[in-house]
Amino acid sequence: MSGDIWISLLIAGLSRAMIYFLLASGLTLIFGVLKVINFAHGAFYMLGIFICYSVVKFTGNFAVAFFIIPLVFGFVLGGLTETFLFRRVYKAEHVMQLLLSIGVTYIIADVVKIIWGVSPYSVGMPEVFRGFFSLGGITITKYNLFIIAISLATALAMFAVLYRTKIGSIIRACTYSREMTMTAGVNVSRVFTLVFVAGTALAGLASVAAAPMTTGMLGMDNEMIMIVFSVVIIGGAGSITGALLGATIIGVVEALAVPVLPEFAEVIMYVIVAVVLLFRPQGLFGKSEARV
Amino acid sequence: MGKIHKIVLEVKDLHTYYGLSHILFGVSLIVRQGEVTCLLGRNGAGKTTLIKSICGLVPASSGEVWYQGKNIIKTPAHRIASSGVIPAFSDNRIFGNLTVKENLEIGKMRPRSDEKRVIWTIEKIYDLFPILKEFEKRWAGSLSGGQQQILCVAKALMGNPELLILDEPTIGLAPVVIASIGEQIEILKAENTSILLTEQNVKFASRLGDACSIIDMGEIKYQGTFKDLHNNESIVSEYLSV
Repeated sequence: MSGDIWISLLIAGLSRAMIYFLLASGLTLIFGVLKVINFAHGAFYMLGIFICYSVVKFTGNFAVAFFIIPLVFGFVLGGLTETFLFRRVYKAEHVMQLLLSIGVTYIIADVVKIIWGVSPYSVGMPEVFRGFFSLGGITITKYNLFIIAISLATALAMFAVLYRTKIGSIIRACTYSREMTMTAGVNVSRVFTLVFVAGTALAGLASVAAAPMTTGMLGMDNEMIMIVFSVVIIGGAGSITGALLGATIIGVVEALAVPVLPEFAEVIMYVIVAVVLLFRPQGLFGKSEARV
Repeated sequence: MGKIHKIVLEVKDLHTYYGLSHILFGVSLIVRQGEVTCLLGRNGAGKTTLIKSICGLVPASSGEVWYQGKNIIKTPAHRIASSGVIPAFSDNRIFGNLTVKENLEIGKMRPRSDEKRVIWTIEKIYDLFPILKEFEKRWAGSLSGGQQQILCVAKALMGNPELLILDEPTIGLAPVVIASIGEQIEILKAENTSILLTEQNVKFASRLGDACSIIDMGEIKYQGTFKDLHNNESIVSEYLSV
C-alpha cells in the first residue's frame, strides 16, 4: 500500500481516537474527583446517539442536536443521576458504586429498547460535512477533520479551565484532599455535582460527534465502555493528558492494525493495556494515588 | 494579663467515635479571644480527632460546640470554615498538585467581624513569608517540609480566621524551622488572632501558650495555666513525656 493511504487511515484513526478521548476525559474527570467509576458512561453515550437520531429526524438540523444534546445531557441526565443516585454511594465500597453504575447501564439500555426498539439507527452525515479534501494523494473526509478540531478545542478548554481558573484549582484541590478543600470553605458536594454534570456533558458531546459516523444499536455501550475504560487505564486514572494520549494510541493502533492484522485488530487494545500495566501500573500519566 | 478575654469557642462534653471505637470521652474545652490555647497530648491521645470534630470533618455523636452563639455540632464543614474556624492540619498540610499561589488563593475569604485586626491578603502574606512569593509558581508538593508548613499556616491565614487551629505545626521539622514558626505565631498573637494549638512539644507550646489543656486517652486530664503545669511535674511525666 502506498504511504498516502496510511496517512488517510491515520486521520480516520485519529478521529475515532477523539471520540474515545471525549468519553474517557469525562470518565477520568469524574473518577479523579468523585473517586467513582461510572460504568454507565458507555450507556450515556449510546443514549446520546439515539437521542441525536430523533432530534435530527424531527428538526432536520444536525446543528441543533450538536449544541443542545451535550447541555441537556450534562444538566438533566448528569445532574439527576448524581443528585439522586451517585451521591448516596460516595462513602460506600467501590463494589457498591460499580453495582449502581451497572444498574444504571441496564436501565438506560431498557429505556432505549422501549423508546427506539431493537433495530439500528443511523444519523445521516450533515450536508456541510459531506465529501473530503484531497491533498496530493491523501484524502481526508471533512467530518473527520471537524471531529479532530472540535475535540482538540475541547481538550484545550478543559486544560484552560482546570489550570487557569479558580474553579479549576478547586476541582484539582478536591482530587488531592476532600477534607482540606472543605476546610477552605468550599462546598465539596456542589463541586461533585458540577464535575459529574461536566463529565456527562462530555459524554453527550461524544455521542453527537460520533453519531454521523456510527450506527446506533443496542450493545454498543458495552463495547464502548470497554474501550474507554482501557483508555483511562492506559493514560492513568484521573489524568486528562493521559486520556488524550491513551485515546490516541488506541484509536490509531486500531485503525492501522485493521489492514495489517485484521484477525488481531480487536485484541491489540488489550495487549496495549497489558503492556502498560506491566511497566506502569498507574498508567502513563497516573499518579500512584490517582490525582488529576 | 489580668483581663479575662471573651470566649471564642466552647466545646462541651464531646463524644466522638470512629466506627465502633470510642475516641473522645466527654471532652470540654474553652478558647478565648486573642489567646493561644494549647492542647497537649501524645500521639493518639485524641488531639486531631478533637479538632476534626470541631471543624465538622468527623461527626461527633454527642456534645456541643459553641461558636458565635450557635451550636455548630451539626453544621457542614465548609460552613464552619467559612464562618471563620480555620484549621491547618499536620497530616494533610497543602495541596501538592496546586501551585503555592493557588494554595493561597483557594483558602481566600473575606474578614467577617469588625474586630480591629490585620486583614490578610496575598501581599500581606508575601510580606510575612517572603519565601512563598519567591516560590509562588512552584507546585506546593515540591516544597520542603518546613516550607510546606509555612504554606499551610499561610493558607489558613488567607481565610482571615476568627479562630486559627494549628495542628502540631512543629511535627517533623528542624529546630531552626520550629523557631521561625514560633516567631510567626507570636506575630499572629500580637495581632489579636485567637489560636488553638495542638502540640506534643511542651517546650514550644509553653513559650507561646496562655491556657493549656492536656488530653490523654480521649479525656481532658488537666486544664489550667502553663505556670501551674510547670509546678506539677507528675502531670507532665504521666501524660506528656514519652
